[in-house]
Amino acid sequence: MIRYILLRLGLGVVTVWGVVTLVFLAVRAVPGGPASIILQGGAGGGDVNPAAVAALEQELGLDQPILVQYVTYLGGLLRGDLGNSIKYSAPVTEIIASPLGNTVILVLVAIVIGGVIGLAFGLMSGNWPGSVLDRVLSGLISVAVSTPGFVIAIFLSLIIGLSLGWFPSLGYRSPEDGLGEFLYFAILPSVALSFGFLAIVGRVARTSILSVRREDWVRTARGMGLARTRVFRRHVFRNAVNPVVTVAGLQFGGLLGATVLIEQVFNWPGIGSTLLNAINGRDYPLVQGIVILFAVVFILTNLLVDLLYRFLDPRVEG
Amino acid sequence: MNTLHVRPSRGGRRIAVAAALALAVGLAGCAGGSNNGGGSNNGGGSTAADQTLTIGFSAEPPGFKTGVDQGSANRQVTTLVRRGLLSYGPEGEVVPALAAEYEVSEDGLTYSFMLREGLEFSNGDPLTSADVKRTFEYLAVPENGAADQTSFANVASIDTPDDTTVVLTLSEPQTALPKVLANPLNSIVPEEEVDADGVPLGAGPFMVTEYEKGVSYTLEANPTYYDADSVELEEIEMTFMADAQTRVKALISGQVQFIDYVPAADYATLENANGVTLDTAYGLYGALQFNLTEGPIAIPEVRQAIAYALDLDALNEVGTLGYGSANGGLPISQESEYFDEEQANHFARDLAKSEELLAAAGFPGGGFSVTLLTNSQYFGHSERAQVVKANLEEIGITAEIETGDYANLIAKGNAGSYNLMIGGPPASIDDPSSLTGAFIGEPTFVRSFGINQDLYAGLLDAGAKTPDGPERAEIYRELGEIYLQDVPFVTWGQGTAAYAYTDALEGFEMINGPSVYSSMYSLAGAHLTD
Repeated sequence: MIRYILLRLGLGVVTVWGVVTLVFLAVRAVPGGPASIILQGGAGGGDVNPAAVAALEQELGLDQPILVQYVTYLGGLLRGDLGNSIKYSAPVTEIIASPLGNTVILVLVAIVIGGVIGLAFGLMSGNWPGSVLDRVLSGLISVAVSTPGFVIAIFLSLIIGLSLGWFPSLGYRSPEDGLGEFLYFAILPSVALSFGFLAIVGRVARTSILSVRREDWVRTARGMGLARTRVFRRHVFRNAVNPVVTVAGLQFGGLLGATVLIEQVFNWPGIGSTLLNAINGRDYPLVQGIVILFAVVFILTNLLVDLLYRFLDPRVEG
Repeated sequence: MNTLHVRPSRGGRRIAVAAALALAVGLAGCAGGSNNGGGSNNGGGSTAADQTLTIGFSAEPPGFKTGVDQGSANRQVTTLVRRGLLSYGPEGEVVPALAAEYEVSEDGLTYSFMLREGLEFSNGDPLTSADVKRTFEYLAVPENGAADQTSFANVASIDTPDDTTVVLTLSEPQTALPKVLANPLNSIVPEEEVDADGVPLGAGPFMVTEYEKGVSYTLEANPTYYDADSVELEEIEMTFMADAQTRVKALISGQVQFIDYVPAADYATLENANGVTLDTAYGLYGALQFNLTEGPIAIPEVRQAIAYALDLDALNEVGTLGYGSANGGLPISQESEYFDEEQANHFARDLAKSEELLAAAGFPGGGFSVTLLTNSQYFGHSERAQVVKANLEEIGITAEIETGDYANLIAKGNAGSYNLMIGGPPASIDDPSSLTGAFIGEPTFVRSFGINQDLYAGLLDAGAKTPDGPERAEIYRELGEIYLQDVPFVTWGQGTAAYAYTDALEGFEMINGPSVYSSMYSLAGAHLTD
């Protein structure tokens, strides 16, 4: 097992290196450099002497050949240094800590909401296939899976937030202002984020339940006269939940990515918004740092899911 | 004295909170509970009584490099936290600020400024004539990138006979100098702020007391401001909201009380919203810029043909939804005494004339293709590109639109990688001398690439030196005539700028023209009513 984990981690490091290289080259291939953006600003920005742009590029080390910049960056990475954000003139690790925390909270709340509701939908639907309940729940799942998260976000923000006023239509409160108020602002973005997750969990759970219900050993258990709920709890649910856990785990990285648009709709200062701003500002170190973070989360999540799957179902071989 | 609080990373704590959350059951219950504790949907706002103004702000400023024009967000924050020797009043007129008064010698070469007594920066350090001298000397160095660098380069010497007197001696007269000094970009900064690029510090009516990166600024009234007693707003909460729809939604829902950079697409919504005032003014000019160095566009007759083909009304309609003003000619504010109505109407649409000019240039019926560079980030730009494309098709020119984000436009514009570009001439102050930026300087995206600067340099120089009056007007009229023949770019009129805010805010005034993003100067005298 340890050998397997080490091998996977080794492969993960190679993957991260690949991602770093790709992103390093990609962000520099896009026209527009940070020095120009910093000096000329956005809308309404005026004239700037090219000498000033050159001076800032030199200060930022952007006048160095790209290979030198690449080697310097990789050297920093090996020391655990993600570099300094160009816009904020501060370590990337420091810049991303706060928005990452905000996003992790959204994702976790979304997982709790989507997981509980999705699993319940899937179980009910799979347990009574063909029933009215099944059709209604399957219909709801289909709507949830086919509607982009940002559309749901806009809908929730306008209807629940703006028209009904039940929750803030946008905005953010720091946990330091009180957990209650923080959650109050986090609810709508989390719910918006949870829809896609809910739909996938629900769909997989339904399929899995239907498949397990048809197994011989389930029929045998029923034939032996075991109570229906006992059969469901001990034989159907326990066997059906493994694929759900796998799919749910793999969704974690996808949920991180989905926050990019949803955070925009709710003006939530998370890692998605930070990434968008960093791209617009051509803040190379910050873009690279966030993408590396996403890659690491993805790789580790996959590894954890695999390990969890082995734990839940010892028949799985490495 | 007062210290800035930049919130430390709370990542660790938030992850702990997240873990607790994951275990929490009955999320809705928590949310309901917080409703009682956190207030209503309008909880983000404040009551008028506490004089806290909440602002949904269009961008987190890229920085505050001294004197550098880093976009409207930078300028607006600067008007709140810094002050120059002079400042703008509600009509855009020059009013005293750090300097209580000033005198100009008869030859227009010596300006003597008398600073107010006891001036201090918000960190408590005294502000003396030495700070003025150091700031101006910094602004004069080209590598430092100040927007008004050439104005300060014209300062031959700065004398500081005592702590409250500054004497500027110019190498040549400069009519617009008071307006330059009132430009917030040229505010006086303390020694540690020169060449710094962090949270701005100055001697303005407010000071930044908290900055949460990517989230917000908190500003409080600055007790050391020279006119602190007249400042009624006690606190300003600026939350960064890059998305325009988000800002509009936040204002309508009461989560903020003031928003900037309202796109024309949202004017109607805000005009119809209860309890909200929409304030608009004419802003900067928009223009079709040319790369004059290659292909058919290098020929003046072709550029004239394009100018006659453009439908300025349609460009105004799509760019500002009709709120702007459609006019051509030199990009001089239409409220300026130097605005020339006749020249502004010179390129009234005339397709027959366009075709004639194209034929004379050797392109009968057009028959060539051009690239048309624009950006997808700001409202109206892509829409205008579509109108230009359609207009050009009518005279047989095919335009291929290239779009991307604003950074892409800056890069390609700086490099001259375009034939035509949706842009606009720069103008930092409301004075015709500001035209210099549109014609003269190193190649950057703010002016047409490969412009024949020699055609304009002499008149622009003369205009900058000549005192206001008929003689100066004649210089700019002559300049306009040359422009109409050479057509280095085609202006289509002044766009609009707008702010929207709660009806409870009194005292905010918008400035018309290029100084429109200095309008937040007036928040120093504004207040919230019940």
